Amino acid sequence: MEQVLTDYTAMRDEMVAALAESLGERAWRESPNSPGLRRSRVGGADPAAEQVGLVTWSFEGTYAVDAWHGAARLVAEVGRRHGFTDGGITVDRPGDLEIFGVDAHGGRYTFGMATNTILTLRTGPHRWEHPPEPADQQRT
Amino acid sequence: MVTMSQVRSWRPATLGLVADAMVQRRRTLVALQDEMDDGAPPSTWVSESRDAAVASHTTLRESLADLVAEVAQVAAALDIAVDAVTRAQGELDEALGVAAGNGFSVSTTGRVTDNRDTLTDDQEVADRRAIREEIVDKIEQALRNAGHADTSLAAALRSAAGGVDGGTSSLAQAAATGTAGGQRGVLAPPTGGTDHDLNSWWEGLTEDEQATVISEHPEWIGNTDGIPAWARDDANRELIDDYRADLTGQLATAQEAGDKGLSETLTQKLDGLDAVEDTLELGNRQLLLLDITGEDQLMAAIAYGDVDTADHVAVFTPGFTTTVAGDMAGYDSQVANLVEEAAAQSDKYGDGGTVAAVSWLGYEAPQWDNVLDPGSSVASRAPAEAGAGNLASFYNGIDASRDADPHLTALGHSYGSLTTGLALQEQTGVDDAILFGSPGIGTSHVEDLDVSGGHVYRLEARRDVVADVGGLGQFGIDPSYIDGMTGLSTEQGSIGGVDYAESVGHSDYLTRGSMSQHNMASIVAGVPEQTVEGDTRGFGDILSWPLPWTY
Repeated sequence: MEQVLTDYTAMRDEMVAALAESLGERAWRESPNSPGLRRSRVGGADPAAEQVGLVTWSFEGTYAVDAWHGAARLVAEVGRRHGFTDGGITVDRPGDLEIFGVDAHGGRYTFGMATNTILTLRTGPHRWEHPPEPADQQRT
Repeated sequence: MVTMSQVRSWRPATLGLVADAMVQRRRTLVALQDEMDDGAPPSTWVSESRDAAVASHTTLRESLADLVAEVAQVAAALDIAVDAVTRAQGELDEALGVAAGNGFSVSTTGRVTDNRDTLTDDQEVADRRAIREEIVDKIEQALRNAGHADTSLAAALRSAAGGVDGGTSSLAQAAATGTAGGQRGVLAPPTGGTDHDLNSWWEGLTEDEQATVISEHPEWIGNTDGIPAWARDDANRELIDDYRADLTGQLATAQEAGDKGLSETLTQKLDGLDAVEDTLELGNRQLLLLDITGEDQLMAAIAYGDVDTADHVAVFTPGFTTTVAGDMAGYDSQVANLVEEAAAQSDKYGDGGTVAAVSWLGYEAPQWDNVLDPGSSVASRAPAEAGAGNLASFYNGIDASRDADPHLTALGHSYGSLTTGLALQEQTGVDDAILFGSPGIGTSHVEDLDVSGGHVYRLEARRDVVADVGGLGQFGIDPSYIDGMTGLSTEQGSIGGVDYAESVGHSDYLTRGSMSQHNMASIVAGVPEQTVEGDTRGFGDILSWPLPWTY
């Protein structure tokens, strides 16, 4: 799990950098809806496996409407380089766009724009090498 | 008993200045230690008069120590009184604010009067009565807290005036003795208090006293509605080891007696404690209920997220065969996914309001092995009725424990939808209700629920046979046919490209990526415009078509 979190964090940073380079900087912030690592059990074959939600990043407003598809493509291209080779369009309608990508390990990102812009990341089921104490969970 | 005008006339700031002055006096006196030690007759002094000098010095030292202790006691008591009175005045101001904001007036003697003209609407009358009771409760507890502050300070001052023994050790030790003597006993919670009473009592305690209650009397607050979630969580976690020891002891006795049934019950309760601890160790959780006293089952409620601060709070009540040991982990995971989906929708479509949700297993849900027991069978309303009061109180406690009410959504699945429906027939602060996979909600008329019109939703999946048993009478008609409930889709769907999976059967409603989960998340997040309406009707719904002349 530790390695997965490191890899996904790097991917997210690259996605935001790619968007900034092509479409300009935005005031991305950590969503108050995602305080630190959000852990839950998966159940099934491996009861010790967990899924973790990384901090959601968002900014108020969106990119210019005519750049929406381009922004989604930038994010998907970065994702593909990091193993997120499957996914799709969750919604594509006036005022609402959302894509998602998944990797071979069950990890999933979503990138969406409507009123605001969000980028969420969640791992697939993995085990921790050193499970964090709840108080020690760092924001990632 | 102190009066409202008395309490409002008190000047804790002035008391604070006196406390500061006393602290300064204490420091000055304690600083005399070196001088006192230097003034002792030297050991090299050999003469008859030395004994008298030593005796005189000892008397002086002990008198000074007593004085230090008295001053320290008064300083400590004043400090605590300042904090307590300030809190009590704050609670009074809050009560008056609620009154003023809702068209009530409060006399100098604390009498609460509704200024609205005669009301005829039953719902409005009930709502006004509830607000009045909240104001009365807050004033009552503020005065109780203020009275305790007053009597405690008076007792400490009387005790200091009567003399405090500062001991024979150092002046610093005498100060510590006096400070300890200035502490007041923690005021116990009001017996039979409402959730507003209990919240006001809690807010009237100093921070140190709250910490004392959590460490020394966690049973006062762990399962008490009206207490903030963080405090209930801390208190319940304190109790886990005690409960485990208690249940383990009972199990040993039961096994010795050869009571197989009781042994199984106790084993399951212990397994439930394990499940609770496993879930808590994931972090970002609050243990809002832990009760080992159920006849058959452990009861517990765990929140995902922060119920004290979230803008949107949901409470999920499951149904038949649910146990903490077998199901808490799974429901926690589903609730976590729901919160994540709702949070993403809130961030993307709304104002980014934060979300939390509770898996509430706070009643003894019917099980397979009591299906023939009329008092606890899934075919009976009895277990739901027993749970509904606790659930209604839990909803109300969330509102009472916070300065600003959250947007509160009640979620009820299967038999849990009956419990939820019955709870919602009481006056609660629930803003939206979602009843899914429901065999009946305890009434055939949505108006019986104390939830605003247009805010009660139902979901039924294809081939959910449980949802089709409605119409047996005592649970009310099949919710598919209750006028005024909004059906939300559980089908595979497209909204201009949206791809959501269908829910099938009884247990698929909260599956991630499903239309039903999306719809529930939209309601929880306060963005109902993102829902997809629809009603799934199957062959079973023909058999539950209501007979209008029967209700």
